[in-house]
Amino acid sequence: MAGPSSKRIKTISVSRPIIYGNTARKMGETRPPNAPAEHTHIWTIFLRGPQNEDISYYIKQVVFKLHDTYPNSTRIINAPPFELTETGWGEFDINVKIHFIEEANEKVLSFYHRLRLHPYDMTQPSQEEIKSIFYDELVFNEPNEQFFQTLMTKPGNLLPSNKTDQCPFSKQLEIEEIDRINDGIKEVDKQIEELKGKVAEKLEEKP
Amino acid sequence: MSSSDIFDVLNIKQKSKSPTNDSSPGTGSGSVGGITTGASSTLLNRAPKPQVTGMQRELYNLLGENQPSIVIQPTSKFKESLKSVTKSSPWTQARFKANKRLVLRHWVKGSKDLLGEEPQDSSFAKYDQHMSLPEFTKEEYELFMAEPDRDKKKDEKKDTGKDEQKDTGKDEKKAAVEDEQQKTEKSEGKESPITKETKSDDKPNAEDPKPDEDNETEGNKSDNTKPDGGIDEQDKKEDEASTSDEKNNEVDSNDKKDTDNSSTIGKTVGETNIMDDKDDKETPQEQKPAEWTYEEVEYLFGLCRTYDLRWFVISDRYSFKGIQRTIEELKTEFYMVSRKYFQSKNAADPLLASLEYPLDKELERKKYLERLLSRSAAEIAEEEALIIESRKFEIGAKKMLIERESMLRLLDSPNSDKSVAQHLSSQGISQLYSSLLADKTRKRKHDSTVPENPWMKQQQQFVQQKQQLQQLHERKPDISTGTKPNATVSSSLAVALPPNNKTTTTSATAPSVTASGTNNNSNNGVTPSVSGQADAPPPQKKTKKQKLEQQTAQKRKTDVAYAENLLKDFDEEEKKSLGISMHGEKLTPGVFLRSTRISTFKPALQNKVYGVLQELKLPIRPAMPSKAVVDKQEELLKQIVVLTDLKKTIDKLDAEKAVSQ
Repeated sequence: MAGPSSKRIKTISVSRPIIYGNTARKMGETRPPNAPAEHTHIWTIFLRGPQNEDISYYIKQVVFKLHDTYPNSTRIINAPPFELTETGWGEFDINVKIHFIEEANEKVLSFYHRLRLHPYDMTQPSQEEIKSIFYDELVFNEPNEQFFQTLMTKPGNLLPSNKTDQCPFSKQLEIEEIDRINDGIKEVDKQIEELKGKVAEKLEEKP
Repeated sequence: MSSSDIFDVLNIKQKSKSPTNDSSPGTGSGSVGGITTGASSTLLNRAPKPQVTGMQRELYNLLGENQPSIVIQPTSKFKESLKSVTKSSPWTQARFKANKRLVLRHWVKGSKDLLGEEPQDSSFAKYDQHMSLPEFTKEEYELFMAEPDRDKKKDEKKDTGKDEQKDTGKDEKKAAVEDEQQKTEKSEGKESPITKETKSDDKPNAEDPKPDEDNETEGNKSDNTKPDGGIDEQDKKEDEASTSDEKNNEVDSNDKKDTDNSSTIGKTVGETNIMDDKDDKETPQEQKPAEWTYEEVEYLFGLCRTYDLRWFVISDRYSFKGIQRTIEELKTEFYMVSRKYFQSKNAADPLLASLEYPLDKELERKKYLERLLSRSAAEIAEEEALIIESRKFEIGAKKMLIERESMLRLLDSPNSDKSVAQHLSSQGISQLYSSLLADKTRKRKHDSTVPENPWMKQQQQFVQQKQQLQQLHERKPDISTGTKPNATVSSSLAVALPPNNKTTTTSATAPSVTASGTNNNSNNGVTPSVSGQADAPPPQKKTKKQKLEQQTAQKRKTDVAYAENLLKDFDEEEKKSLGISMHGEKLTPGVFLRSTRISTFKPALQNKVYGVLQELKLPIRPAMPSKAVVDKQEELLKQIVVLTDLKKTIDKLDAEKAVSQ
């Protein structure tokens, strides 16, 4: 473990929201000059802050591992914006590896994103841009002091208050989400009560 | 196939004498007989048709007409006479001196002339060694007996610590000492290598003073010391059979003593009562039923000389004016007298210590042996069975420990109820690795201690509670009879009691108890000792684990304090915007994606949960896994699990119902 090793601050975790995903579009007449003939789509995979804010103060580099059939299938992006545009004809899992800044002394975070080129509803082909975007949060559990200070320099956890087309992930969505889950919980609770009653009935029946 | 057949085949006409050679009793048969009989004379050739069998006949028949004119006569096969040239060596039945008086005969190789008429010494004569025991006149005896036995007390003290095994060894040593003295006395002594050995075993400087003093004694009573030979001869007659060499004697005496002990146990059973009585008494002289006279001592020494300190023989033969003496008495007297004797010769003799005879020890040893040997067969069998049983238990316990350990290890291993999917990503693998590593270190710590027995723990807790309650009950009357039954006292007890009644002795409750106690102390001067003592025990009785828990809790507290100190500049809103959160749980340090921390279940359960989520029209993965959302999601999942459980119980009940119907 190279890098500055300093004490981890216990019981604290710092989270940073990130948005990742891909956009895809059918290629029309405007093909990039070097695109192979069989490629039908042009797509972009990206990793960014919810409001496109700077995340390079804690992310050093992002590595996208593409399908093996691509030349140089491991693409390393060293500076923001952490995105990659390619052409292709098929969907596959892209391995995203986030390298954090040296002082964080954190391991590489790796996850997969399934590249989406086609809309769910295949019946009506649309020329619109296809989006497959996810919200997630990077949780730095017990960061070391130096990194903690770095993270404290910017209020990185801010979300837009309202949904926009540009960025659906907002406080509004969060509240909606919570409401939805709450509804779910209520529903489940209701069912539980019903079932409890049934169980009691059955137990009474038995003797 | 005969020759006639061959002739037939070759179409040769026979000489028409006879159709077949076999049947012809003429010359053919005669010659056949000549060959078969072999050694016999040719006359036998005429014998009518002797039986010819096997190949020989067929071969012979092949000769056909051309039978040999000369009968072959085998030579005689008698053994040749012996032609040994060596001369027989002469053996003579020569006379030899078995000991100084007795002359016997034995066969020796060699002619009579060569050996001569003189009876030779036996080759075993050199092994015929005897101890020379001190001899003294009555005056001398009285003289040295009058001296105070100062060494005795010192030695007694010394010997009390020694075990019986040593004492038996000591007897041997004493014999050796005696023997050594004899050797130095004997000017003509043929020093065998064995005696040298015994000498070298003993302290070499002991030899130096001996000759002088022994010479003195010789000068004083030469008539007594010299006639060793006469006594020796007597010895030989008495125990002729045992012309064993001294070494054997020494070696044997070990076993002998043991066996003798066992054999005399039967003999001395009647005497044990007497011996037991004597145990209490201090010095051997006091315990005598009859005082030792010089004559008796002399008689004893004579016997000792005769039987080479073979105590069992001595005690068997002992009959002095009808006085009954046990073997221990004899030994005690012998060693006491000889110790005094040598003390008078040379007070600083380093070997004096070896002339110690710890009577109590000897008796004890004998008693032990007696008890050991008087066990019945059933008792012995029972003992053996017990030993085997205990071995079994030991092995079983060991096995169980190992099994339990492995079981605990299994239990400790990471839960497999989570799906494998989360470990498929490289991040997942690294997490798994780190958790396993943590497990490993934890296990290593665990291995050092014996696995905890939950029952024992429970037991301990109960005992603890009981003690606490008891103490409280003891205190109660004190308080009531105390100077002032203060209201606060009872209240303090009321505070103290409930936690004790609970079945918890965790570190969390224990401090609260003490806290309440100390609070009362400060509030109320009347009952400091009461509440203080009543509440003091629990923290002391904490188990290791509890201590550890407390330590970690303490550490956590300081951690929390530190973190809070860091965060004190931020208010809630700022914290939220910075994404800082405090958590109480133990999470492995490191970075992770929030969405990966949503609970997962066993595959079967997972599918059911997904099904429920679909019914609720909720996504499996929340669209926005922020902290608040994930927490809510967890809550939902928990409820869903409860729901599925309920569904399962209902299914089960239905199934039961179906079966019963």
